[in-house]
This record gives sequence, C-alpha cells and structure tokens, in this order.
Amino acid sequence: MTEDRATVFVIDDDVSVRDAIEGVVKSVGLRAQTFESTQEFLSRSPSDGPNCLILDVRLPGLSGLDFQHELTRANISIPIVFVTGYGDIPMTVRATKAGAIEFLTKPFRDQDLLDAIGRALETDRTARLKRTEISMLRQRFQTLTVRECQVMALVVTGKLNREIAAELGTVEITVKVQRGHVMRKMQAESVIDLVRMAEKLDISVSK
Amino acid sequence: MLDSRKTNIVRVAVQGLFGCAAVVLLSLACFRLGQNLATATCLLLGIIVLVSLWGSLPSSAVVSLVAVGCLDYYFTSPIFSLQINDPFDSIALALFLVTSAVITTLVSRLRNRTKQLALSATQLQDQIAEHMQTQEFLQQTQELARVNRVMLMGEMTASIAHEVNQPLTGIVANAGTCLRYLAAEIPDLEEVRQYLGYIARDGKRAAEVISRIRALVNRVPERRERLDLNESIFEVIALTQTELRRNPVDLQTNLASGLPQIPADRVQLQQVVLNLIVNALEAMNEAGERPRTLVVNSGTSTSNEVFVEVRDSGPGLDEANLERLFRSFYTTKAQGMGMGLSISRLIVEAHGGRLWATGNKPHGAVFRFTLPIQDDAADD
Repeated sequence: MTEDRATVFVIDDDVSVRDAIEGVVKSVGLRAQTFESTQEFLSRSPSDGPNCLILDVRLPGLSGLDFQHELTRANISIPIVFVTGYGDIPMTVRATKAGAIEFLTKPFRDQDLLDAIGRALETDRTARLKRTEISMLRQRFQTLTVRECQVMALVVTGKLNREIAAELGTVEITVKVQRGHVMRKMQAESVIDLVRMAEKLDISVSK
Repeated sequence: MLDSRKTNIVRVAVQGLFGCAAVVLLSLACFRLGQNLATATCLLLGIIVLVSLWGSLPSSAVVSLVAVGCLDYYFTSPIFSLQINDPFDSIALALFLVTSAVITTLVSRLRNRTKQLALSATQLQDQIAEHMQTQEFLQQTQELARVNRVMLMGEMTASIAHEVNQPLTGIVANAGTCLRYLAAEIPDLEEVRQYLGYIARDGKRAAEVISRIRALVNRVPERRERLDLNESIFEVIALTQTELRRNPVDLQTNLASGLPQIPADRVQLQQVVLNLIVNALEAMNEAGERPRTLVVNSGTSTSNEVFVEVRDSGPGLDEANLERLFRSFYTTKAQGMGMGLSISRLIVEAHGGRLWATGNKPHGAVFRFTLPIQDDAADD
C-alpha cells in the first residue's frame, strides 16, 4: 500500500465542490489532484499507482457523461465516480451502463464519497494487476519460436503429443521437447496453468 | 334628442295655457265679487309665483303678460277696455309687471341652481366609484406583478437550486473533513483551520445567492431612482447565465454608451427585461435547428426617450395577433399563464413608456420598449 499511493482526480468547475472533495480525499491520506475542466485533466502529466476520477455531470461544454464516453473511445480506462446536482434515473442508468462506479447526488455524505472512492481504487488496482500480468505473459509469449507457438496452441486444446505430431507432420519426441520449451519459457507449472495463460492472451484454437 | 325637445315645448305650452286660464278666471271672479285692483294684483302675483315654481321661464312670462292684460281690462278705468286713463294705474301695472318679472327670474334661477347641484352630486358619486375601481385595479396589478415575479423565479428555480446546492455540498463535505482530522490522536489543527475557512466562505456564498433572490421576490414598494439602464440590463443577463449555459445561444449585446440615467424602479424594470429574455429563450427552444441568436440592444430613440430591444431568432409572431400578446391570460406556451407580457406592459406604461412587438428578419420576434428620460410620472 505504501509504494502504490493512490491518486484521486477531481473535475468540477465549481471551486467550493472542488476544494471540499480534495479535503475529504486528503483527510484519509490519499493524494488528490483537482481540475477545472476536462481539457485541463487531459493535459495533466501521467502518474503511477492506482487512481480514479470524480466527475461532475454538469460541466460547461462537454457534459460529464459525454466525457466518460470520450474516455472509453480513446481507450483510457479509469474508474469514474459521478457527482451531480440532480440525478434522474435515465442519467444514472446511462452512466452505470458505461461503467461508472457510483452516482452521488449533491450534497453527498462524505462517507458515501469515501466508500465510492475505495471501490473505484480497488477496481483500478485489479485492472492494473490484470494489465501488468497480461503484458508480462505477452513478453514471455514473444520469446517462443513459430513452431513453439503452434505447439502451445494445440496443447491448450487438450491434444496429446502424438496427435500434435501427426497434425504438424513431425515425430512425437520432437513435440515433447518443444512442449518442454513452451512450459519453461511461459513459466507454466501445469497444462491447466498454460491454458489459463492462453485464455488471457486470447490465443485462439485456429492459430 | 328631438323628441325630448318636442315634449318640452308641449309642456311649456300646457303650463302657459293653464296659467293663463287660471289668471283669467281669477280676474273674472274678483271682478264679479267687487274686489279692487290691489286684491286682484296680490292674487294674480300668487298665481305667477306658482307657475314659475312648477313651470318654466317662457310660460311664466306669458302668464305675467296675460295677468297685466286682465288687470287693465277689468280693474282700471275705463273698464272692459285696454285703455288706461289714470297715470297711477299705469304705474301700478308697470310695477306689477316688474315684480312678476323679478319673481319669475329669481325662481327660475333657483331652479337652475338646484338642478346643477343635483347634477354635480351624481357626477361626484360617479367619480368616487371610478376612483375606487382604479384603486382596486392598481392593487390587483401590484399583486399580479408580485405573482409574476414569483412565477419567473419558479422558472429559474432549477438554476437557483444549483447555485445554492454547490456551496452546501462544500460545507457538508468540509465539515466531515474537519471531524476526521479532529478524530485523529494528534489532530492536525492547521488542516482543520483551513477547512473551517472553506466552510465560512461557502456559507457566505450561499447567503449571497439567497439575498439576491429575496431582492427579486420580496414585495418591494415601488421606488423610483435615477438608474443606469445598461447596468440594470447586465445584471439581468448575469441572472440568466446558468440558463444560457444550459441552452447555449449566441448572445449579442449592443448597449449604447453614454445613455442618460432614467427615473425608474430598478426591480420592476429588470423584471420586464428578464421577462423578455426568458420569453426569447423559450421561443428559440421551439425553433429547432436554426441558429439561436439573442440580441439585446439599448439606445436613444428620440431626444427625450431611451429604448431597450430584445431580438430572438425563434419561430416569430403571428402578425395579425401582435396586440393579443399583451392581453392577460393570452398565451402560446403550454406552461404559461399569459401574464408576463401584460404585466410587463403595465410596468412600462406606469413609467410613461411603451412596449410593443414586431417581427424580426429573417426569423423571430422583436420586443421593444421605450422610457422617457424626463420624469413625467414623478408627481403621482
């Protein structure tokens, strides 16, 4: 927890609300960074560690909901907690469907805000872990030769060495050696482990 | 008119005839009973008084002349002739004529006076009734103006609720922050101080919003002061900012610089401007895809008049019904009461100005009102 100090981003055009959210966030030992507009947020310097975004629905120009849509399209994944002066049901549904963590109506209880932030950061942490794991697997996968890739693709479908050899037009012993290489390079402990990795890497059977 | 004159003539003739008949018969009776000139004169004068009281000036004049004739015929020598031998008789008859003329004139003057008095009494009653009606109407107007203000505020409630909710959100959250800092084993008082400062700031901000609203809604008595027209317009535009942000329009203001200050009630005047702007915005919401342009102009139209103009690019007005717009309870809006424009016009007219509407080119409507620079209505 010490090395991954979380940052909470706040976008609200109103200074009262901005200062207040910043205070709540800092009082529980998290970092807060506030922005007056979405443009200002987009031009921030990148930061490490888990983070989340507290977004006002009613912003000048692009609304908070539209900005959420835009972030998704730009492939920027960040958990969002919405705050709004008046929340109607369609608005809440739309935001939640697009992956919002929580929809808070002003004036909100600070504990509700902290709970939502906690959940948002947890979501981001999990997502980050998954992302780093996948990139690690991808790096390992890249060290495989073309033939090893083919063997791996067939192994994860549950085929025996003999069947794989027949399919690739080679002998069983060669497949056995190549399979050993795959297991070592991918750091897989078992075939089941390898199958899980293949799933994460989205290796299709047809390959 | 002609009929009443005819009946009048007939009445005078009848009165004259009756009077003459009475005079002739009385003279004959006196003569037969052997009375002298003095008795006959007195009795005849009585008849003349009665005729003048009930009848009119011409009938009593005729009766007087007939009475002189009768006295001459029966009571002065030679009897049974209109000749007079005794000069004293001539004087007596002349005096009789003068006396009856004086009586007739006095009585008829008395009757005229009475008639006039009665007439002015009815007029006075009418005036009092009228005055009371005006008073009642004024009271109603003032009440309506207040209702309208409240209604306008209702239309802006969403924006205002937002304005108050923002600082409240800050206060609630900052209070929580302070409590959390204070709950620590060694409370960070510096942080507590900072967030208490924010609470004070936000509280003040909420109070300012509320006092701005109160100034608009309150039953403020009319107060004329010399005010800067453009400044008042800018204040109204500032009030509509949230509305403008929610439904963006291209707002253009051409406010003439160096306008003379005008005598007016600030709140009432701003109510008119607000009314016209809100109407324009609503009209443009119905206009669909067309560009939404709101133009607010001010300037001098003549040497002693300033004007304010609100132009929109909405669907415009039905040229045939321009005047109906200003009638009470006439509305083209689904949720309107049709009071806004009629009250606006009342306010402008109470300031000695005029408010009217025309079409805008190529689309939309223009509402324009003028106000006199000189204070004509200051005395009332």
